[in-house]
Order: sequence, then structure tokens, then C-alpha cells
Amino acid sequence: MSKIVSISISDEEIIDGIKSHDDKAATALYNNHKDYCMRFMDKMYWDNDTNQDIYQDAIMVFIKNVKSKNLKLENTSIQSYLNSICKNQIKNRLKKANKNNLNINTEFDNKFIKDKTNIFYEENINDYQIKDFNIDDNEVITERVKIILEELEVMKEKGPACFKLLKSIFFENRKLEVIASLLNYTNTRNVITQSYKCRERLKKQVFKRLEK
Amino acid sequence: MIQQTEDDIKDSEIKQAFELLEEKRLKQLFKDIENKQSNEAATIIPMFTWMKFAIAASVFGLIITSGILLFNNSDNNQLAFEKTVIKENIKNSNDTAINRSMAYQKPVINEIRNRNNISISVKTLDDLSEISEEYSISYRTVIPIDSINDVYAKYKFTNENLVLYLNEKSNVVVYQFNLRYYVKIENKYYSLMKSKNISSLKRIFDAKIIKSLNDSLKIN
Repeated sequence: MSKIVSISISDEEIIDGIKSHDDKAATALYNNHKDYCMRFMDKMYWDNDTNQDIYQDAIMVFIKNVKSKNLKLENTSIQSYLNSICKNQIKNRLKKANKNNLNINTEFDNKFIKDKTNIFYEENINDYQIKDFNIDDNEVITERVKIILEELEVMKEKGPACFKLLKSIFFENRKLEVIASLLNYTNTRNVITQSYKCRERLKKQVFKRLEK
Repeated sequence: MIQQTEDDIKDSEIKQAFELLEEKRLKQLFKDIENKQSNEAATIIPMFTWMKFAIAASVFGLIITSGILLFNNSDNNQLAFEKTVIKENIKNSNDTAINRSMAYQKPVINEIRNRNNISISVKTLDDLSEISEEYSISYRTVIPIDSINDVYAKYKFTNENLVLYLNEKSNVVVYQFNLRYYVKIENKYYSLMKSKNISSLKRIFDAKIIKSLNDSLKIN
């Protein structure tokens, strides 16, 4: 495993940074907590790449929870929370492996996981619901969403101004005044007008593809 | 915010697409972090191996070079220098002086050479009256101060230093040899160990008279 350089930053700063879509905070989150999670997962049957996938998924769940659920860690640390996510990821993978009749001793694994994860339960994380630690597998991604995604990627390359504007509105949930200031619009009315044009442009491209 | 029609794409769909895009971007960010760390590790490990080899080679080279310098250059040259000094002293002395020169010279040079901490202070002849009757305690082989010709210099040895009382108009020459400095007084060479004091010597002597023994003495 390569050496991880920790970045000196508090849990609160990481959460605030993630809320404001700061990549430095995401990088710090990833680097600072990886070592502990990976050491825990190193005892698993699967290879390092799988552990890395699990860890990345855990980070994604964490970021999503921070952004969408306004997560506040009052009685626990990011590390404990991430460990719990990793633990649930492992459980889910074992369940899936069992369903597929893969040669894995689930009883042993569950005992092992329970032993290894006792520490997590001791750290007051019971306040969180177990679903908070899982990736939402039930999330339906429709064909339309896939096409929108692809068209947004095209827009990012060919019309970055529109992409930034739509991202500020639909993803970053910024106020119109803030968007006007950040993206150099003279007033909020211009923001609304321009966002309508951009949305129409996106819509046109999406429906053009859907009609094919 | 924006009025939607049935045929319109929904806000929630755009939002979901952006979330997936962000997820994709973050995964790429984490992949880049992993690649960067792997590359750094891959660079650092061979670098350490290379550095270890380079350090080992340097140390080995240093030892060999030092050995050659110590045994061939420094030591042999030093011995050759002493022989030359003695020869020169013999040439410039009468028979009675020969024994005295040999007896005086080598112990003094050896003694000074072994004293790495010896310091040199330089004073002018104005200060000479203070110690005109003094003799060296540590170096009984050193000529008493009052027997030295005033034209050259006055000097004394103590336990820790060599004090030179110099006349600015004197013909005293400072020689440089193997990063050390020597002063020739009455056809005898005395080691001036501290090169940092040469700056004060230079203030008194004309810099031009500092000669290199490597050049002036053709040592075989």
C-alpha cells in the first residue's frame, strides 16, 4: 500500500468544506481516514483493490450524507462514522457473495466483523440509522437521467458558462444573489433568464437523443 | 423556480444527473490521489535504492580518497615538507646549529600539528614590552624571544597558543600548505593552525607574501 500523507484539518473543517464542495476537504477526508479503514479491511478475504473500492464507496456515502442530510457529528468522529459505513459495505458484499454461492464462510466472517467492529459500537454511533451507512442501491437511474448526465458532460466542454450556472442552481443550491456575484451576472433577473436558456439548451439536446 | 411542462425534464432529474456527475468526478479525484501516491511510492523506492547505492559509493570513495590523501599526499607531503625544512635549516646553519635545528624543528612541528585547537593571536611590536623576558614554558626547544632578530618578529608559545609579535616592516613570510599556514622565522617553519586568524595576519602582512608551499617547495 502506498504511503498516505495526512492533511492537518479538523472534522468540522472537513464537513464544512464538503458542504461548500471544496475538493481540498474531500482530499483530506480521503487521505486522513484511509489508513485506519484499510487496516481494518486488510483482514478480509478480498484483495486490496476491492478494499479500496469499498473505502471509496464509503467516502461517497459520507459525502452524500453530509450534503443531502446535513450530517452533524456530535457524539462521534468522522473516522468512526466511516468505519461503520465500511463495515456495512463489507456485510452487504458478503451477503451478495453468499447469494451467488461464492465459497466464503459467512458465519466466520460475520463473527469476525462483529469482533473487529465492536469498537465502532462503543463510540455512540447508534444514534444513526443503519441505512445511513449504506449505499442506496434502490436509487433508480432512468434512461433520461443517463442522457441528461451525458449531455451535461458535453455542456461542460462546449458551454462551461451554462454548465456552471446549472450546477450552481441544481447541485450547489446557491442563492441567486450569490450566483450573480460568483458568475459575474449584473443582477438576479439575468441569472434567471440565462438559466432558462441553458435549461432549454439542455432539454433540446436530451429530447433530440430521446427521439432517436 | 422555472416553470415546467409535462414534456420538460424535471428538476429532480437534472439534480440527480449532477449528483451522478459529481460522484464520477470525486471517484476520479480519488483515483488520481491513488495514482499519485502509487507514483510517488514507485519513485521514492527506487530513489532510496539509488540513494543508498550513491551514498555507499560516496562513502567508499571518500574513504579511499581520504586514505590516499592522508597516506600519500598529506602525510608523505608533510614528512617531505619537514625533511625539506630540516634540510633548509641544515643548509642555512653551521654544524652546531644542525643538531639544534633538527632537535628543535621536528618536535615543534609535530606538537603544533597535533594541536587542532591551537589559536594564534597576532600583536604588533608595541605590545612586546609586556613579555620581553618571557620564555616559552611548553616548548623548551623554542628560541627565547629576546634572541630573535627584531627585523623579523617576536613570538612566544604558551600551552594553547602561539603569539606572534610582528613588525609590519618585517620580512616574515606566511606559507600555506595543505590548508595550514606556516611562518618562517629564523629559517624555521612554525605552524599557524587556525586559518581563520589569517585574516588578521593579512591585515599586518602584505597579502602578497603569503606563499603556497605547494608551489614554493618542490617536494618529491
